[in-house]
Amino acid sequence: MSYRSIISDASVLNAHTIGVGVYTTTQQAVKGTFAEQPSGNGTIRYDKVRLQDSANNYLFDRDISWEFLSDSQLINQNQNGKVARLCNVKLKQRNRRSGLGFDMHMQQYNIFKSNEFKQIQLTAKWDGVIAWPSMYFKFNDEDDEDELLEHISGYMIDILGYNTLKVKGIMKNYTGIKDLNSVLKPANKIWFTDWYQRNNKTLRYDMYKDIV
Amino acid sequence: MSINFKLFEVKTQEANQIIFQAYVKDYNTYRITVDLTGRFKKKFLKIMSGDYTHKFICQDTEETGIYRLDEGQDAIKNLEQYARDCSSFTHATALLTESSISRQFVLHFKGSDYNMDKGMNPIAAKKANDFFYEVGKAMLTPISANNADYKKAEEFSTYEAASLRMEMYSSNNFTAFKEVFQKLLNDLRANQLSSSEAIGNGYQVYKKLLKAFKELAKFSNLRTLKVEIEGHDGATIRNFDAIRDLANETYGQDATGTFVIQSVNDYYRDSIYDGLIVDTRNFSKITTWKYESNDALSSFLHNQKGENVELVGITDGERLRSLNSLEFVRENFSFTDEEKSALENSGVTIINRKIIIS
Repeated sequence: MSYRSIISDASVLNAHTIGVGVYTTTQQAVKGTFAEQPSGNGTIRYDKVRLQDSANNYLFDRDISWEFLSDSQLINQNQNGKVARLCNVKLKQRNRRSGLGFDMHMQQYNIFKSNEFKQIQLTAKWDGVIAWPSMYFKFNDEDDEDELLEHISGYMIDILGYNTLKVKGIMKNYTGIKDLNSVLKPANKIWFTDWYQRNNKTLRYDMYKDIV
Repeated sequence: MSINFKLFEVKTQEANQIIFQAYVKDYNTYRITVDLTGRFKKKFLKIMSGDYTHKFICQDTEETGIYRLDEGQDAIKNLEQYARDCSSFTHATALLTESSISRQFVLHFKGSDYNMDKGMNPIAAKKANDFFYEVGKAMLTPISANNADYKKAEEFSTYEAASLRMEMYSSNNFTAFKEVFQKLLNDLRANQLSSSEAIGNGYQVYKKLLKAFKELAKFSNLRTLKVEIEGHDGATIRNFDAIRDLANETYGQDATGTFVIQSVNDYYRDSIYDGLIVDTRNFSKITTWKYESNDALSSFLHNQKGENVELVGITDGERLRSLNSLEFVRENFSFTDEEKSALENSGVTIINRKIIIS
């Protein structure tokens, strides 16, 4: 069976296409093209997608890599289903705060849903360790979220200058990374994700989001 | 002084603020004193058990690496390794140092009801916990105003299975308390209690401990209680009935003395008894002496506030004092005819300046 039985070429490209004026960095459309020919079989499909605006500026640091699986174990569920596994994505620095990441994710989510995918799986890296949980991705291992909060508390103390009582209060009332998003991207201080990447060994977390 | 606990701390790199702090002896014996996120404990246990791993990305190669501990299940060594390595993959520093926590005393209960391996009798467990709590409270009772023990201290207790072993730890020394505790244990072995003059400032603590030890006679299936103080053998106690009898002999004794009448009230709101409240002549201690409820006597005594009396009674227990008689000391004191008549009609006996109740 062909890899196109998992998801069509048109759907993959559609998942990386955003109309004019949808996001804020430029008011130009975003279009995805195949950086190389898709490949695979009836079980797994491999794609590499390049995103450019209408002026042909590259919007991401590298081509986006996907694996689409027809029947794979769903994270934290006792069943299988179609899975879209994002393997590599890194937004260019100048496009941070543009809303492009969120809009792109919603476009992908909707296309994958119409193609009966059950879950998106990925490894959050770089800005993604905050961006993905802010888009309601869950940690495969909940201990990872605990550790992320440990690092965030250190950032709040060392960079934002919070006292321990304030940090304790924030942690006590914590309901999700999304609540902390703006705090971790201050206007006049180093962002949490940039601060964290001062270490050569930097953060990465396996995450997933159910498509419902 | 034995030192068994180490101090494990995780701090931010720049401001040096504590994110996590725990006193730890081994995997099962620790006390967490700071956990800023409220979520570090699971990681702490995983580090101690050797199960902790951390995945990271190397910036230069973008490859995934995994940090693992390699000290097996040695909790202290695992914490030491984590403390050495963590700054390479976090923005925190960790330290494992000697702590100032030392063992104060140990209570080791042995007997068929105290074998935790077989599942402790819950009533026996409660009695032992109550006893441990009372001894701990006695430890915190001030012995002298200048005692440096009474600054805020970390203290906690640990328990060991297969016979109930309860240990009290603190970062203070409680030297005076331990001296009094050992004195009591020595006296119990000799079957002879010391007087307040012999004990001095620690007498209140001595009595509190004696009161707790008196309860041991009610513990079922307790064969021995071994007490260690600062890691040394304090005493192994077996004859709990003898302790109870010794404690009871301290009370139940005739008590005499000269006191100043202060007031009369319903004895602890007990309608069967009234209580005469007296103070010592130097106004240093107030006590209440009960007698069967008697309106005429109570009304009369209430009007005698400030009079010195020679009082005879019996101390039945720490708070149970019974009044037998009292004699007014003032030479020109006398009862009016009406007073004498009312008192004698109520059932007491009047002889000169003396009221005899029983």
